[in-house]
Amino acid sequence: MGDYQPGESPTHESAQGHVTGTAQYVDDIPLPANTLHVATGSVSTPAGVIQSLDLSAVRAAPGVVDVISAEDIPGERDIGPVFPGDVLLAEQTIEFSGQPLFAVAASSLRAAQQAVRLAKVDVEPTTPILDVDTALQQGAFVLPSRTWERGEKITEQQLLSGSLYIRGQEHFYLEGQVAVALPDDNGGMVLHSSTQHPDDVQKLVARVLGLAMHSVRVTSRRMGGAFGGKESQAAPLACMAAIFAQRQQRPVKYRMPRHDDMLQTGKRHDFGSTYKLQFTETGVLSSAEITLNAKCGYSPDLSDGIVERAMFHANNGYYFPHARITGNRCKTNTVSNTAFRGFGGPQGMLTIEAAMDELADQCALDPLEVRKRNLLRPGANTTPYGQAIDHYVLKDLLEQLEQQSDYQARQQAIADYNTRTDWNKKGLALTPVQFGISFTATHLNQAGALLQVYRDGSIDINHAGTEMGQGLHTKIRQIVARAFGVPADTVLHSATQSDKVPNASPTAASSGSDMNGMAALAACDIIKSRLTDFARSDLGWPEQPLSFSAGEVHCGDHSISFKELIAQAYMGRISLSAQGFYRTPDIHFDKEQGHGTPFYYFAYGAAATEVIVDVHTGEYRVERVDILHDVGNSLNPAIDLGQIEGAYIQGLGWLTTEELLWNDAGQISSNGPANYKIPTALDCPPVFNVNFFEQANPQPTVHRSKAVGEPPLMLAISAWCALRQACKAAGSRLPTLAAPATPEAVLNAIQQAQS
Amino acid sequence: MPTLEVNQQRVDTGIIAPHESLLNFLRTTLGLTGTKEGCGSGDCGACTVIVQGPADASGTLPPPINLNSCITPLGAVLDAQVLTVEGVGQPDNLHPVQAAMVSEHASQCGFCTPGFVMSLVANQLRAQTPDELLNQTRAEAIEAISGNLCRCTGYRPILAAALASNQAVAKKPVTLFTPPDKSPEARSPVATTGYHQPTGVSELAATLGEIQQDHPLAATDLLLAGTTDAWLNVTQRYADLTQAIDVTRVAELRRIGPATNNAGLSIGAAVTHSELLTHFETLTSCPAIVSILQRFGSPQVRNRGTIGGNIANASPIADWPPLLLALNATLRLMDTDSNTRDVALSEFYLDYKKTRLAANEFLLRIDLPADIDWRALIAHKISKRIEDDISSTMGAVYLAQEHGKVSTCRIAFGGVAATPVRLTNIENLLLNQPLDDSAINRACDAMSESLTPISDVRASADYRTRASVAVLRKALTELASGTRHTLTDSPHHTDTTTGASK
Repeated sequence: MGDYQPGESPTHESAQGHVTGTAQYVDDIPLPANTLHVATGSVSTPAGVIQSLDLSAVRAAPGVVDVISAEDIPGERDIGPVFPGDVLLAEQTIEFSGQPLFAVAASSLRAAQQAVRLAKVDVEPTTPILDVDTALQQGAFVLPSRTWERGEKITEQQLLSGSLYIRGQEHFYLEGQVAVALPDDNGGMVLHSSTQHPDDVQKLVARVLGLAMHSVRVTSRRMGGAFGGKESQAAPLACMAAIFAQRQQRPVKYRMPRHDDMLQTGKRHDFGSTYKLQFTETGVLSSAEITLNAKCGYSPDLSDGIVERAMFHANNGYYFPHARITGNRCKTNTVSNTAFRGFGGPQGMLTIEAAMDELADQCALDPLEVRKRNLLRPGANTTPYGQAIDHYVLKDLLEQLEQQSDYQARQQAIADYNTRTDWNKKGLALTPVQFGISFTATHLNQAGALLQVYRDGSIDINHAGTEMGQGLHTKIRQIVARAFGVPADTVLHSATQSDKVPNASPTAASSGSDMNGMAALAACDIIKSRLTDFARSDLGWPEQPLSFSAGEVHCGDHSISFKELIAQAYMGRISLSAQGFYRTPDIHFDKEQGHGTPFYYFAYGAAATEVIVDVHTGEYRVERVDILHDVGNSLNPAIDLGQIEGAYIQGLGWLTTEELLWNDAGQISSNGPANYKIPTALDCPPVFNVNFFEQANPQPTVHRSKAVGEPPLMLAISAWCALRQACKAAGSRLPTLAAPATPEAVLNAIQQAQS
Repeated sequence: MPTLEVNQQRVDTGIIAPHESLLNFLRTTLGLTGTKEGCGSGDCGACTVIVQGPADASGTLPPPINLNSCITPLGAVLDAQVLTVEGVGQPDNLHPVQAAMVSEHASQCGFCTPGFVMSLVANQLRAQTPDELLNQTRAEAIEAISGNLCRCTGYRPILAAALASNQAVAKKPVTLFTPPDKSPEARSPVATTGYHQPTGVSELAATLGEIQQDHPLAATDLLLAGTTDAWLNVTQRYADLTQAIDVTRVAELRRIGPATNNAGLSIGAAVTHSELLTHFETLTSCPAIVSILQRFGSPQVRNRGTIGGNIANASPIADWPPLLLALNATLRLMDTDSNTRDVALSEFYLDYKKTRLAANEFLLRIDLPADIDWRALIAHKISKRIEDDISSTMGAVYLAQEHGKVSTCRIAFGGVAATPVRLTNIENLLLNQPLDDSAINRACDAMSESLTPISDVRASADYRTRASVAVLRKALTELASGTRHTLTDSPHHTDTTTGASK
């Protein structure tokens, strides 16, 4: 069985199931033959008022059993996760192209999809707001803007100003959104949902059905990828399936085909950023003014926190003596944008990194040197939102990576190469990441775990976190196995269920193992404490703590197998079930003032990326990537390596080939994998060196580990910066570069560099 | 009763609707849910399965291929053997590919994983000898999985699993297919279901004629070949098909070779891109065609997609037409009375998605001139993503010189107009001139004025023009100098050590 301790690398708990196809996803659950399948109908108009909705042909279509529109929703029609504004079905007003207006339940998915195309909808179009600039001009916001100020306002002698439009990103989880609803015999509902947030699904299904939360049970065994896209976006499917299941008292499945998923579910926000920097001749920042304008789409969804996190990361790891940071939550007639790995952080960070390259260019300094000079440092250790840093990791980390990647010598070699060649140019950039760990909505920083030890000595651990591929369950099993000193197969993880751990926060903000690991440990401690008392009172063992290792329990000279102790404890009528709970300590944040300590700690990393560009076509390749990333004491090095590599490539996709586009009529034009291109195996760099920055988390996190889900995505900013340097080498000046840097964008930048 | 074999077990399909897809049949009818639907459009590879057979009329069994089951009609695999992930190995008896995927930590969410397993197994089945497997490069492993998307891992561990399992299988082969016992005479009767599978060209013509008497549809609406595009009508637009004619078993359409002595290459319309890639890698060496075909769709798409479909589909951004225009190809068409006529490819396209094919005609074969110098062809494709992406622009130049002057020149582009086009004005600028810098500059200057591209999700009109000029400049410079300009040695990186470590 091997060692299953934290720090070892057991394989993913479902790996055998993944590779043989036996791991069951929601769409794979066998369902009765009378199961109904859902599709929704919409129009392509991005803004308008419904004049008439004639669904007679839809109702008459073969296989159709039930059709609903907004007025058929028995409970509340709004399913906004935090703020109201996200309607399950449009009532009178259409707010984005493809917005669901009605829904059909039919005998097959094909029948449902064929039926929804038969609706006759008469819409009076209104003038849509389709971009951030128009929203700003018209003052159209989904939520109020905020500005954080620190020190003095920037003066007129600003030395550098610029802007950057950063496009969003489609999650493209391989498993599309899906939910199954099964009516129970108590008037309640059981749901299988591919969701990162079973509690939210439970709350919203109860709300739309007019039930109390205890009548709705939600299970999420595993997701086929999520990346933030199943935090709030899973709920509409569950709600819709549940409404039909309640009406028809039949099982209902709602699986979105890829095309519908790409039209109807939120994505990473586009951001239009502007910045002004003041700095000294030696390239040290004195003042920064950054405005982050997010394209939120038609509703708030999670945009409040997303824009806030973009603001938190607008300084990345740098010190701003004076700062003014503004976040605008622009309302547009497009699908409501949502959480995506990094949650606004990447857009804030890319903005300042783009500006840092311009600062270096103006000072004629190496960009890495400028970055190093501006790091948060002793005496200059406070972020623009008032959190003081007391561990200065980035300086050491950058210097270590500079050495490991042979940065200086390669910059020289690249400069030589670029003088020798006309057709191709190379670029190399090394950029840092400092990412704050904690939900910035403080109340979400809580987690529970239910530990059950059965009388044969086997253990079931259930916790509030969901499995989306990140290996959370594998890590939690390691933590529990170590706590009891038992082999891996003693501990099983069951599906995340709303009736085992209530009021669970979403598995998001990279918090999964931090919070649920601590909750699981707390549960283990409760059981261990009961066992200690039992050993003392019933076995006559001395008053010393028990030690658990290698399947045995020791105390002084006494020892007993874990199994035997549990069997005896059962006979002694000891409760072998415990609920563990954890709340992250020491964090607070005043949203109005923009001041506080929102983060328990920071995760750090840096990447050096080298690219080669064809200056005539703008085509390019990533040739080599070196990463040094801080995961604290790794709970599972193989899983953490997978998170870092996977996040880098996903970030690379965001900044290179993944171009999220809408046409002038407000319809998404990158509406399928044929025209929205996520990385393939060829985009994995031929040299890809990933190392851990060896340092325990100074905070008492679970085994001194650090969160790893989101931070490494931003390592890919180095690729974008490297492409921009290569473009500069094709001409005489540092050009602006669009994000993503498609071949077309690169060619545009080259043209600008040469002009 | 129509049958096929799935994981070595005989399966009766029952009556097949012509629009029934293989994926739906596997998941819904057979409950084999290991094969996943990721996109329903053949772009992600999560639904990849392996298919072999049936044997052709001569009894020859084609090699096993991996394909996207979401865009494959169930009818297309009748009498064939289908292998799904469930047939490859079980949790307590893993195939070496599966074992390596586990030990290399190559699955995270796991949803794409069965598709990768199938593409890697297919890659191993394609290898002729253990040595071929032992020596497979990282670049070849990349090519093998270029039709499978993974959103979690970043691919590095999957490539490691590919190479590790190749070693294991080379040392200890695994048998996954046994030869079928079905003779061609015992084929499934399917015509009654509306899904027609003629095996000869006269049968095809007659079947088309008969169906058209009752169904007033053009041949292009009734014929199915590789269905890599046609099936999107079924999976994306939810169209029901009442009648379909699958041409992929028509013997005359499946041939590659000279039609007669002293003639050029003749390619049957239903020859797949994979078969042509093999042909141009081995029998007729043509680096330009090979380099384009390696980036043509994905292995799964190339295994099913046909050259005839790519031409008759009449997409302005198809990759075969520029190559074939530069090679001066002629098309042979046949009608429902089995009459044939030849049309030069340069005359074939009339307007966007419009060709000279009459409603009762189909494409029989593509004929190439006898005297082609295959090395005189240069082609470049520009796309947002290198692998498995539709071209923004794609250009092909065929150019020969005599006595220091250009004697033959054919330039063709896709993605710059409503149809694939020959740029005769540019050709005329070059003909009878020395191929020097000034001639190249003149051609490139004139080029930017002769194009009428559109702006769409893939590229702007402006970029298409600039990139097309760059493609022409690159091709002409390469032809003049005899050396190639590339970012790397091949579209698939040459090997370097992958240094991921912990």
